[in-house]
Amino acid sequence: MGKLPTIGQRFTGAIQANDQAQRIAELQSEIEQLRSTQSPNLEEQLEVLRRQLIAQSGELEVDITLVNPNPHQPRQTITQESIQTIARSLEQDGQISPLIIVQQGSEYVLWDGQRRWEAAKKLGWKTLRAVTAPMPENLHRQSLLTFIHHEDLNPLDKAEAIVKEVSALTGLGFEEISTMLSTVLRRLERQQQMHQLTNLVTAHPKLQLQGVKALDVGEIEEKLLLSFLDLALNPASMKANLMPMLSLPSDLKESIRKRGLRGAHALALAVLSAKTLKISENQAAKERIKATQQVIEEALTVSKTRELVTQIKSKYLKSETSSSRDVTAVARSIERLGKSVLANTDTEQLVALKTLLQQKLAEIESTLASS
Amino acid sequence: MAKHKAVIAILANAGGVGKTTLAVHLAYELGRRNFSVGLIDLDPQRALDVFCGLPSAAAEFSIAQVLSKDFRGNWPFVSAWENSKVEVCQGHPIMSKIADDLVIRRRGEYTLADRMKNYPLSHDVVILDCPATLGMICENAIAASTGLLVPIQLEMKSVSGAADLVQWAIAIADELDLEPRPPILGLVPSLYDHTRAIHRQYLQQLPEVASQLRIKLYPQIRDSSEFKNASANGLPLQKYRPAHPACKDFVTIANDLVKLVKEGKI
Repeated sequence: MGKLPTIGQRFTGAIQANDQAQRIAELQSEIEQLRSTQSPNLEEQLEVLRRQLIAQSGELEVDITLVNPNPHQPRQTITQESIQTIARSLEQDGQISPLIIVQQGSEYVLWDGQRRWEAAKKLGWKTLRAVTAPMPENLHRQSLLTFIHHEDLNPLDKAEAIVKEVSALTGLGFEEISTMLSTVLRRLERQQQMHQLTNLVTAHPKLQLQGVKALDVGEIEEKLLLSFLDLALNPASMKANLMPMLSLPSDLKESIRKRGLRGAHALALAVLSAKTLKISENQAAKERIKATQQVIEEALTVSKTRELVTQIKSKYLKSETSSSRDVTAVARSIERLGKSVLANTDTEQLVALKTLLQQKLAEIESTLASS
Repeated sequence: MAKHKAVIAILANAGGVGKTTLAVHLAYELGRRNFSVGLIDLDPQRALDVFCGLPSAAAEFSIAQVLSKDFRGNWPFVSAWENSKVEVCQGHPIMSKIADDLVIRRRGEYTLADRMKNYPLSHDVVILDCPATLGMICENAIAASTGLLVPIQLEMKSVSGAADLVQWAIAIADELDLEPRPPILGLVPSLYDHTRAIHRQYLQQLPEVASQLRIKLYPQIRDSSEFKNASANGLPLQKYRPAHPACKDFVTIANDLVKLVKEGKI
């Protein structure tokens, strides 16, 4: 009697198809990751820096246990997926660019390459190639400047990093920064001095100081404005675009960080609050999370998102009445019906008008009585 | 109680490998864990009727009605057994003809999925008992499901059928552009008879295959004449012979599904 055939080879096709499907899914997520994390501009800058550092002191191989993450890394959003992606690329292609590290005693602080470092730890690597940079005067400030003008940093991380820096410079808390910024900008707007402030964004620090002094603002307000200008940030756009990020409800913050929700969408969705909808916090959060889900899944545009929000709002605020344009128009025409016009109109038409007005008056009275 | 509705399609590319047995006993086991379960019989052979002790249903009170063009949401579910949380949407022989109609109907492959979306079911878990031939009805099942279970008898016919099925399921999920794709939750060795050399041998080889496929392998369900006696009486084994050792064979899968459903993973 012959031997029983084994079942393994029967599955060759299935295994291949399965592997292929998985590989395609991985590649797709890799492409998405690359698209969302790479800004050619920043990469170029870092490349230049890397080359300079290699020329100065050469590359070295560092023990990754001696490298410490930058505690001031403004990119707080580092997803496990993005680390996984980098780990795969390290495994396949090896380390392409060296880390940039700063010597600190007998150890190092990471300046660039946090994800590569974390991925290497995951892979069980013991060393990485790195170049050392001299200790910047203020590491947080250096990395902050690199990052706040890096378009891919999400607006929430950006806002947090900036407020942290401004708070350190001015000694103000987040609430104070927010209120003071609003007050001073409103005043400048009233005094029509906004364009003067805007012109200072790209000016030399000396001119910025003179310019702000000329605006005749309070001492702390001056410090506040200068701390934004020093980071090449427009205080007005800071107030309009970034400060609101900080007061977003936690579900929206989480969606920005973990699921790539965009800032403008988050602001539109924030309208769905307990206060606006006149419902409990819990209910409001539920509506918001549902809407957020839809926005992300269907990749809605900002205006579509606003439409969705209006729709949801109208579900809760149905009974609200609003002023009608028709009524305003009619009232205006009646006002224009002067005595001279009436005097020159024939009686039949005047009687018809009188009846109509009496009818409408009765309808208005009954509407008023029932509301 | 479940956050998301789980829809599990039980598929096999061969007849008589224990699809309906798995569907029925799994449904009962989930019902015992206080999940409401909807069993849908997509097989024109309507074996589910026998297992649930139900008289045959007219087409208008069967799944055939649900897939017909003028369905308006009145799902024809009937209770399966006394004191159980399992309900059945019965099958009908006309399903083989409906399968042909679906081929030319717009969104034919998504008909069942569309029905479930437009007229949502209240059950925590829905189990789809599929026909043995891979075709339009099974494509509907895949499009509507959130996970697949593949019973596999340890004989060459069923084994190679399962291999083809896995490949087919991946291709279909791709063609239908399902997002997310329903994962194969596991292979379930069924009708296992430890006295047969071929069963023992293939059971030994299966873990290797499953790991290469990155698909979970569940513990085997034994073959027992008591399954036949139970179904002849229209009962699941757990009700017919509660102390029978084979009743325990469904526990791991049920536990796993409960966990997945509670975590919202399927």
